[in-house]
Amino acid sequence: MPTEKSKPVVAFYGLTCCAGCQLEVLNLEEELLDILGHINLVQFRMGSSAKHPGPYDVCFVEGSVTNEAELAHLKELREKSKVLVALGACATTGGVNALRNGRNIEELKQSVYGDASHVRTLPQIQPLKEYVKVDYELQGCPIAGDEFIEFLTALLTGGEPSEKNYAVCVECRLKENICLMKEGELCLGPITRAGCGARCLSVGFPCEGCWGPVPQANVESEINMFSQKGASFDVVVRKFRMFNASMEDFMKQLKKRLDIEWL
Amino acid sequence: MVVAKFDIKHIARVEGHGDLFVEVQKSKEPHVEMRVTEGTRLFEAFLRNQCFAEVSHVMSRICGICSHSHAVAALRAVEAALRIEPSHQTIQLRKLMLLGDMLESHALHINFLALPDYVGARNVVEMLPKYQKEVHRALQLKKLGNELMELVGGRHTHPLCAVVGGFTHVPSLTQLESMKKRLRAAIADAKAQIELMGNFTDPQLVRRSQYLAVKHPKEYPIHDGQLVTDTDLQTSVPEYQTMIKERNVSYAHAKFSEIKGKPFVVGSLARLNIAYGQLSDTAKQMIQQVGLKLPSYDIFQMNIGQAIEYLHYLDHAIEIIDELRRTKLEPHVAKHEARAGMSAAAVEAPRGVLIHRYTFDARGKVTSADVITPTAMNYANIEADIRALAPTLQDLSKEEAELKLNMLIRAYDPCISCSVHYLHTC
Repeated sequence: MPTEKSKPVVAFYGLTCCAGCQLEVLNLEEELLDILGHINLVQFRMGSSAKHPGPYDVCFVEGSVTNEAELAHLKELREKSKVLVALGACATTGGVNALRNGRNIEELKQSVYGDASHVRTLPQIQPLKEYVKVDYELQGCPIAGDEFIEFLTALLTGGEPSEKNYAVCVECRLKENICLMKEGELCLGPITRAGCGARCLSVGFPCEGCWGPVPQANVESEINMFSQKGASFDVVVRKFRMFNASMEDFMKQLKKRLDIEWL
Repeated sequence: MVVAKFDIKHIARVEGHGDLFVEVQKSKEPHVEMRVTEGTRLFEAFLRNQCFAEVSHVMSRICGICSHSHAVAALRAVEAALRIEPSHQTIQLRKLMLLGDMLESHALHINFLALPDYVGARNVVEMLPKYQKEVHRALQLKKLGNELMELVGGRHTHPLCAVVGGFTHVPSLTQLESMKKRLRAAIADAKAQIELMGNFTDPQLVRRSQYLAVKHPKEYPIHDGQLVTDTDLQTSVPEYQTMIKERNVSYAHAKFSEIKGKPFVVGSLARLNIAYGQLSDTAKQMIQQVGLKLPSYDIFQMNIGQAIEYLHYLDHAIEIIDELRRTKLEPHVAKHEARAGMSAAAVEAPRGVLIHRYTFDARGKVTSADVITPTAMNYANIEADIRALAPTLQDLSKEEAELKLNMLIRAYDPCISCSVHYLHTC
């Protein structure tokens, strides 16, 4: 066991989100107490009323920046932290928060709050790395507990956390699932980064892309497969946007391809 | 004249971001603002134009802790609007999802969020030296809820295989039998959890309010029923807007709710006050044993109320599994197609009544959506409670007074990120 002094000072913060990624850490019921033996967890408002002003060795940030105050807070956390880790889809791809992107923000606000003059919110949701330097990203909606443990272990033992630069299909095949795409479903597995262990697919639900695009995703081929299955322009766009509406490269490729095919 | 002022930033051990501002005045009622600072989320707005099949997956993302409650409320509302009849098997499996949510969330709240205050700790880690057994027990009780959600919903946070019309995947008989064994084995721990919470009779705040729950003629509130208050008001769920009225407040990204112009309470105490006769026999025995008097108007008894419910919900899950074991379980999705329609559904989430309402056009696309969460329903009552509590805090140190205010808010088990979105009637 490390001594109290040698333990890294770790903080968790949440921006706008469902708090599901911090919850995933609390959900590591079997490992939680072990983990807490190896880190000095000084800030975790969801589970502790203790406060710590920093600096931190490692700072985990879940959620999206939705207003100026959150942006300032994120910048402050960056300054205070040796290592900053973006936790989950909202922080790494914008997640469902980015579904507002490309829409009229005033109209969206008005439809939710009626008189929305007291509501301050940004029109676009971007991944945290667009605002500050992010050292590592843990993807998913929510993150996977085992990936979190793997990541933390690498960090604590001085190793470099591994990046899974291959598609969900690899994990899906290892699970010996029947390919849902072959069954006629529209699945984002071929262009989505692995890490989830093909969880959705293993219970009969096609991939929705919450781990974000895999590097060098063959978007064109994916759209071809969707259109061969008779998917309309509208369906393709909705599928791609669900968790990745702020992924500019991804959307650009989609737009380019759709311009040719459907518009 | 202001005689005391409290300005508590980022209330801890609750889900989401909220501040509390209180000014106690000499000859006037205290001024209280429950400032909901969570960033606005606009779920109901960006949901428009999504397809009916996507609604539950988007809406479960409102909340990590009660994602299964949001998913089931969304699925039921979508099905009601599109006139889809789920099978009995589907309904029973969805109840298991909700029960899993209750078990996980209650264990989390009772032990990790509420309990530290009662034993002078700031978090569960500080409790470890003295309460090691209790902490380990709590982790197991919490895990059990997660396992039940994972077994039925495919994942413990944000369910996967529950879809419009049914399930794409169902648990095997062996899995159900093993789950039943674990649920039964947890009964002793659930009783110990009630006994532990029964030791804490302080603080108290007895203030008569109104209590609202989803009441069903055949079972303790969980999956379906009418909106019923302890004052005998009753409304069918699609008519909820005639009962529950909302208003904007300038200091919160959430709307505040009232019934007949007055605040009301949802959550464990509301369910108990309205439906304690429907609890399982073991839960009723434990109420006797710890001497809990129902109905109760002491809001701090939300905590022990959840412990009582934990035991009841274990019993309910066992009963459902026993029934499902006698049938042939198969993935089943009821036939359905896109059509225009509008409807609403309510379930009991861990924190209380949760309502989802949707309108669809002929292509099955969302044209309007409305969600009222239990935490949003409770805000006005939290403020009313604090107005009653604050003047009694004047002889305490600032630290002690702020602890009591925090404890009061935490008793409601608020889920603030859930609450920051609301759709105006359209």
